[in-house]
Amino acid sequence: MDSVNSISEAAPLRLRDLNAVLATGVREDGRKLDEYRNIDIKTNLYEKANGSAMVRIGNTVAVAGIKIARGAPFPDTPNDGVLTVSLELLPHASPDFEPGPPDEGAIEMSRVVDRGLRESKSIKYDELCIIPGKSVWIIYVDVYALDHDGNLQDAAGLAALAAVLTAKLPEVKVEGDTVTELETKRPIPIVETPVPVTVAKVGDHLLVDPSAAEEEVSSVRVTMTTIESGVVASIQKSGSDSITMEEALKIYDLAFARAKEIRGKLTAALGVSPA
Amino acid sequence: MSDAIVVPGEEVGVAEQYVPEGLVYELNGILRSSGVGRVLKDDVKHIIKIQRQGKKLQVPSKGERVYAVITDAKPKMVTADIVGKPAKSYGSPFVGLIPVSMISSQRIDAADNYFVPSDIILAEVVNERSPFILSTKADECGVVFGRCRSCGDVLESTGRGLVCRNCGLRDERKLSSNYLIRSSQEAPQSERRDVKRQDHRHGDYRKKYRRQ
Amino acid sequence: MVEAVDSGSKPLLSPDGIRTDGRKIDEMRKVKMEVGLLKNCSGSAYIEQGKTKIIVAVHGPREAHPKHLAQPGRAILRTRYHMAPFSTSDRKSPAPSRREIEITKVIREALEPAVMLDEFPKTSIDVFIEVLQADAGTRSAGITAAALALAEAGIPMRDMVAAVAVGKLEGRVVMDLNEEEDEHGQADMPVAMMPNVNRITLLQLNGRLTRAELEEGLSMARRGVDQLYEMQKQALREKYTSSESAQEED
Repeated sequence: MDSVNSISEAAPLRLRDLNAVLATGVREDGRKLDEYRNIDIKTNLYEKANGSAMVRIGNTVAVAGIKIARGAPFPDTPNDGVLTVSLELLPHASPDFEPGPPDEGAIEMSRVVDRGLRESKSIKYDELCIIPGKSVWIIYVDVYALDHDGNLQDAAGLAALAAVLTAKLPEVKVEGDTVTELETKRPIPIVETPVPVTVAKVGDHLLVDPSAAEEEVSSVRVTMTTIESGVVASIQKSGSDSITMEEALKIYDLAFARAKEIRGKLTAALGVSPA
Repeated sequence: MSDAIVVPGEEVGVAEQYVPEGLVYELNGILRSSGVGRVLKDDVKHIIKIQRQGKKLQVPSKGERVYAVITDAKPKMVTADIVGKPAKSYGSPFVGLIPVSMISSQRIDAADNYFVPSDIILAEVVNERSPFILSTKADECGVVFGRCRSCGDVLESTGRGLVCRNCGLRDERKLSSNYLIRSSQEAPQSERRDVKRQDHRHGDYRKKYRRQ
Repeated sequence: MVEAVDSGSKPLLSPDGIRTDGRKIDEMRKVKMEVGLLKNCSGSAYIEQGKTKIIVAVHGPREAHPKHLAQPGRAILRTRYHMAPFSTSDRKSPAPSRREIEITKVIREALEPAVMLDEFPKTSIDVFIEVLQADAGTRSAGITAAALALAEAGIPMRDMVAAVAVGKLEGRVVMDLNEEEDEHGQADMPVAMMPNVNRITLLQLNGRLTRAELEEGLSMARRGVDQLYEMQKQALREKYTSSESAQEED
């Protein structure tokens, strides 16, 4: 993606065209500036995974799968379970994606998904403890970007969230140091839904849930993950431009409002809500 | 000139009052410094600029004489690595281009007859930005050190051309008047200088003529 | 709302608003800046912020290598944020971690709005940020020092860039977290700004903030950036008034 990129060379022209459209208050695909695309969420797609979800935002698709294993806790948090998120941009998703080690963009996206889930502290890690200091549940969340029409960040974040919300882990019986997994299952203890919403800046306009065409010419994207109470649990500014303080707060307002709507759809689609 | 040193971003004036020049830029009507230095204001011409403090950028600039090593020579275009100024070498080289029209004040058909990869030249930078265009039209500009096309040994200047000190091959270049290696059988100084002076006048005349 | 505090035994903030290292809520750690200490690069700077110690070198503008990276209309800015193996309590592997790769990217994007890249087509400007000792706030201190080194290198910039991390301890928004506060606090929000043109160039958050706290955090970061910017100015002015270095008109 680093070689002479004729697409990005042509971006100034695209920006001019797009700006003209945006000035009318409508986006190329007919959406209003603060409007999210249709979201479709499917869960429990793969029997061998402990949880899975596919999220479609317009023509953007991401899938997440969860595997759960018992393992040792980190020495500094002996009573807490562990969550690890990784994300891969599959070559299926875009002619720009090559197989191989993730580039900095993919690493950033993955770490933003990870922080959104982790830093909200919405998952009760202490309830994932089996034997303090010795054995805890480790939750592996693997996210794949399948189809890239912009805003993979939110698609990946929502897929990971939906998979966590619907995943099941076995109940265990502990006798001394012996752990036996039982037939009965329980959900991952999660008490809130941290929903990521990305807003892109194109010219002077703030666009919620940017399409690929909008992302291409955007100078900045900001992802904010908010929970029910309005608390923002993670922020990432990405892109080679700056924003004002007022824009930062405006983005928060947009992100919180859209997250509320998405949370409704999520709850409806999953038939579950956080405990 | 004020004594205070300004840093990038500092407001130095308003666009209504001054025209920004070196290291001053305008944003929403405000003139700001883009460098570290002292503010120079010309209230007659309404010009404002910053006199840079400290290091100068090690980048070729227009009008400068630079040393370069020829990396490729084709009939219409020669490429060279600009390695530094006479007193200072750049940390890493910049790419320079010498179009066939910039080699000499005389008409030249094929650039590769006058430059050979590995030649060290002195040249003048004629533009501001990469890719840097070089001119070797001036007398002092051109090859200052070259090697034989055939055996690679050093070429010596005889005053009337170049001769390989190893194989004796006669060769041609757009020569600098300061070619480094001179043959011991060189033509007498006086004679050579005469030839030079003539060339110089000739060149000047042609330049003036073309401008009209 | 009430936040769970997982700081263990001792509180990170006393009831009268004093932190474990004796600082007040809006007090920055002791900062030391030095410009131009390295001689074989275009520009350099050193910063100490509390126990965080970072050295930055800038090379360029120079021809971009490999060639295919070169952009026809502008310079490319390349950054490297790296932590020395001895910079942390446990030895850090010298291979770049995913964290370092991400920070490298956000630091580059924090500096890019300030650097006038279109002045030097086809070249690269390389900023190397080496963390010699890490005690929280390394990305923000790295940005503050990088801007100094770029200015010393004479690379035209629209503004300086300075950065600070604000955080949340015991429900209060505080300035410039140290390592203990970063580990056990409730939020960490690094913010970089261009102080004169008043724009945010880096914004990240880990933790939990309400909208009001977000707003307060941004204003506090703005005040921190102002303090750091004054120190940057001081460091640059000292450099050029003490050593009567060569003046070259542009």
